[in-house]
Amino acid sequence: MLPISNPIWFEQLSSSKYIFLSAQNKLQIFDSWNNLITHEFEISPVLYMHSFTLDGDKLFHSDGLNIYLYDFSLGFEVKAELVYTLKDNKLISQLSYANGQDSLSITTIETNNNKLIKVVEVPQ
Amino acid sequence: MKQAEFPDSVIEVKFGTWCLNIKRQIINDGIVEKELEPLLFKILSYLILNKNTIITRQNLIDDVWCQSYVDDNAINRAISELRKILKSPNQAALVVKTHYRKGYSFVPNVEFIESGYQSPNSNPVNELDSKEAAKPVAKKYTVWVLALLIILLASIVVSLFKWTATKNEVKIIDKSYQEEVLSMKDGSHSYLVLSPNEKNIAFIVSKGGVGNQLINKELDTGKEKSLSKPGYKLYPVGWSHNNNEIIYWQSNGLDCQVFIVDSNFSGESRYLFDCSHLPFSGQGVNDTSLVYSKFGYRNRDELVVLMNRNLITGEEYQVSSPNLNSYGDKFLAYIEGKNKVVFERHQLDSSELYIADIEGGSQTHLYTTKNRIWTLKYHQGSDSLLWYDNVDRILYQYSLGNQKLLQKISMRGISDYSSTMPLNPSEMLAIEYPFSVRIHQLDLDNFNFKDMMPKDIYPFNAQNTDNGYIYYLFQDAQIVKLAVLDTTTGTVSIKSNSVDFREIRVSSDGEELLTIKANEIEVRDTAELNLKDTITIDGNIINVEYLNNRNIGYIVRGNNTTSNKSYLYDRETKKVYCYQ
Repeated sequence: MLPISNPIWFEQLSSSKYIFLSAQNKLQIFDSWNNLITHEFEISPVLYMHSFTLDGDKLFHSDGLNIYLYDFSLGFEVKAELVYTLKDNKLISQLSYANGQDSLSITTIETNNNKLIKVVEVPQ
Repeated sequence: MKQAEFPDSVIEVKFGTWCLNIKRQIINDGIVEKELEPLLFKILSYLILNKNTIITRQNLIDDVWCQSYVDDNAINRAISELRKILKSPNQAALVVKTHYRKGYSFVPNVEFIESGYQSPNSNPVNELDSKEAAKPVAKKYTVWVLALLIILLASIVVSLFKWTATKNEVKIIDKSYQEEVLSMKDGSHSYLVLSPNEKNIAFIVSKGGVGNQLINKELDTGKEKSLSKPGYKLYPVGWSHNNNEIIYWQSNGLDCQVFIVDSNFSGESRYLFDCSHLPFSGQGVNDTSLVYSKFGYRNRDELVVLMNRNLITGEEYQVSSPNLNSYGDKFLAYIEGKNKVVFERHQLDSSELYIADIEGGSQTHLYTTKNRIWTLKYHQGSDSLLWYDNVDRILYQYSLGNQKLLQKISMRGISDYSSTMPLNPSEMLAIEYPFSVRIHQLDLDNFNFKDMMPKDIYPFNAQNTDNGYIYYLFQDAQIVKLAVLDTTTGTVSIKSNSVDFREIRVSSDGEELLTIKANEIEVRDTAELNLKDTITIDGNIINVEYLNNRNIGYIVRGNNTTSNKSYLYDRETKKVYCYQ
């Protein structure tokens, strides 16, 4: 049994280690061999929406504008490293990382010019 | 840990003049029926189940909130809210007693009503095991007869309900509308907020960069005033109750603060309080109080709760108590004549419409709909609520007097809107949909950021593979399709011309994909989309991921009183392992 309270996302880091995001926005690494949460990370506050992607030892997190990397190949004491910030009225809604390509697919939402209008019923 | 949930056999609990219905989480005294917030239901259940014991604050924190720390004020507020709900002309006697510096206890005698068997004054927690042996044979027959009668009665009620529901179903009426431009500034218009007297609207116009303009527009004359602050983006929260002031929040990407300013923007803005960086709405309900949606409820930064804040003293209290397994409660409207607030409870798979006193009492569920209720207008002339569903393009009108839908209007001849505010069934203010969804690829070697999609394709849910493919979904004339992009050649292949799933996950080798529906996961090969396996889930899926060895990890939403649960599906043994 994993003692993670109210998870909203999880992935497997290795044969015995899982990484969870709790509803309280904490990333927790759980070791199923000794049944312990071994590490815990506070993630940066959300600016649009949180998204995560993990492949191999690399976990990427986005708060909606910035992309952070947790490189667990360097150990579990690692700190989040800011790798990219979106510009030009774009926001991030999803991330997908492919280790083999060392690239991220980023689903973005872009804002364009528009109008304020009044909608009126056409008389019959 | 003390007991916090009733056994399944208990259907009702009677105490004082109240009867608590466990399944529906309501209390009824024969005259008034009140729906309990999940948190209040949990506290009440806990106090009842542990009657004869003084419940300490720590007990409540451990067993009800299930957290390591809860602010004292939150407990005080919840107990006071519960007492308010349990107060009625028929129930004068004390229900929840405070033991000074010790805790709380439940005072009235309690009677547990069980399914098909009534056990006066029994405690189901301790006695259920021994009761079965003690029941005489004749009583067992009575139980069966009673159970059959209940089933028969229930089927009649269900049939009657279905018949009435069909009879009362509101048909969709088609109506044609035309559009008149009110503002076409260079930039993106958003965050439309109508003044309570319906004479002005506040909105913003952004044009790249860091700043933007907060605009107040007179609807009759078209006159505009604007406010901007170098280095900050401003967003309207709402209006003061007398229409003279606008409450807004500003952010420079680091700090987020709420201000109030006269609606002509002629005076200095006055700082009110700090906020999170997520858009929220509210309205002044009198000279001193603001009812608004506050993010960060129960330490979850995307969970929003309705608050009533005194703008002079800074004191605030909760108006609503959303459960953790939702996105929370969003302010929609304040009805001055009734002193009521209308809000949306954004569940993971639906939107629920509620009305409550501004103190949080008399909370009533009005309506549930599959799409979001982003904004809403109280229409005084018809005592009804109006909102526009921008997915199905339907204008809803809900009668507060009759507590039912009055009409659903399918609006013809209009554009896509991102923000709307109906004025009446014939007129609506709207902002054109300004967003386009794209898929970009970020090369982590050189940080080259490249748009990967052909023009006029608006994809979502992109999935990268190790062999250079990106699988994605896109919508084409209301139909969702599945496609794959070869990033080496730039060619796109359509894998399916119509799909009924909402999300996909692709294995990193690109050989397999998971198609995800509300409560079903299918495993398919990517070559021909042949079905390899199906996992049917009892509950709503929150998230699915591939784990090692192509095992599947998924999280299922808990109900109002339980937490989300995570599961691991072992592909080899086809066994499901549940993690709490």
